[in-house]
Amino acid sequence: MTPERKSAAKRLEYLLNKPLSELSDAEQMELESLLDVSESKLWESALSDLLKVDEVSLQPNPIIREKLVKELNRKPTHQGFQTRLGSLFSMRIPAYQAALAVALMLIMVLMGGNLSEVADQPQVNRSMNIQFADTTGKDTLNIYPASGRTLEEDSLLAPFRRSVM
Amino acid sequence: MRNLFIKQLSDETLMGRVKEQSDTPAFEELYARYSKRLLIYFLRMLGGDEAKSQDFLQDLFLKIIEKRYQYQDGARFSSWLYTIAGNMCKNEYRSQQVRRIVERSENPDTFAAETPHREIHSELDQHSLRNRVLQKLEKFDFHQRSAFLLRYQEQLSIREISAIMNCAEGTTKSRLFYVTRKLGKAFQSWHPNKNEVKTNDA
Repeated sequence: MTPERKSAAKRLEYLLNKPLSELSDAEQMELESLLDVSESKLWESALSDLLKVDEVSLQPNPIIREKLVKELNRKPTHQGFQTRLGSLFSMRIPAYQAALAVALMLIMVLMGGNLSEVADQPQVNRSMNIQFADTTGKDTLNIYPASGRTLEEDSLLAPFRRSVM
Repeated sequence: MRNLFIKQLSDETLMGRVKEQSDTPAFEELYARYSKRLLIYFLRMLGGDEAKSQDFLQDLFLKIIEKRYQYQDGARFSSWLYTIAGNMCKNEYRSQQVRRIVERSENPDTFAAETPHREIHSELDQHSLRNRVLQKLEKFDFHQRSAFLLRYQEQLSIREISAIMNCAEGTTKSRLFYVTRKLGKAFQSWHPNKNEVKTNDA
């Protein structure tokens, strides 16, 4: 092999391995010219002629068509629940991701129960505060201890004042 | 009149009708357009087994019916069809891999040049050459054979073949280059540019 041909072969290999979208116009022309030398267009068209489908006498079995049409008409026209479910499970979700999702859901459910208990607690405290704060027995139904009827009652010293009185 | 209208529709529109309305004439038109091509694709991919090719053709279109809701509107129908067909062949290759390895005595790298007794003049010669090329094609692996048939039988572009076979365009080009070069070498006496092949091999 001559040095020119060797370098052309290397260049061809490089161009062949490069994605078509990344080839510049000049590189595309170069690739075509190199392919023209090594694999003539004439040989390619000869192969295409040789593989022409029309040249083959073999025909599909007519029974197949009848069966398929029956099958098409047998199926429901709208996407049913089973098909939707089937298409959902046809997605490729790795098993570990699915397991992780299930574990997360379980944790959320368990934590959700605890959180609701925690959320209930302040209400109990508030009602307890009201009972302790109502030392005069004159309190109204204002159950929210954070806001009193007057500025005096809102004061942090309010309980002590009452006890003194 | 209706048939004439159906014949003018694109593959994608026809498939859309099959998907939305289970339209029988649309399905029949798609079947008419592709059934023979796919039958021969299967025949050439499955080593000339005619009965199996007919079965594969039926299975393929049954899959189309079953999976019609998964067809994405606007996606190229032929690419979708050949992707499913290619996957069916790939599965078949996997199941028969052991048998094929035992049977495969000749490697494409060791192809000897075929020596014809005469030039191609008649249809009989053409037929004989086709059979010999197809016999040689069986010696290539699944990916090389599939890329070759999609390119030279189905006349698909390199981009389409790459999408169907889920590989880079460079890979498709290399596979095609490898097969055509090996076949060119084996059939150099029939090669339209005989001298060129000889100089390339030199």
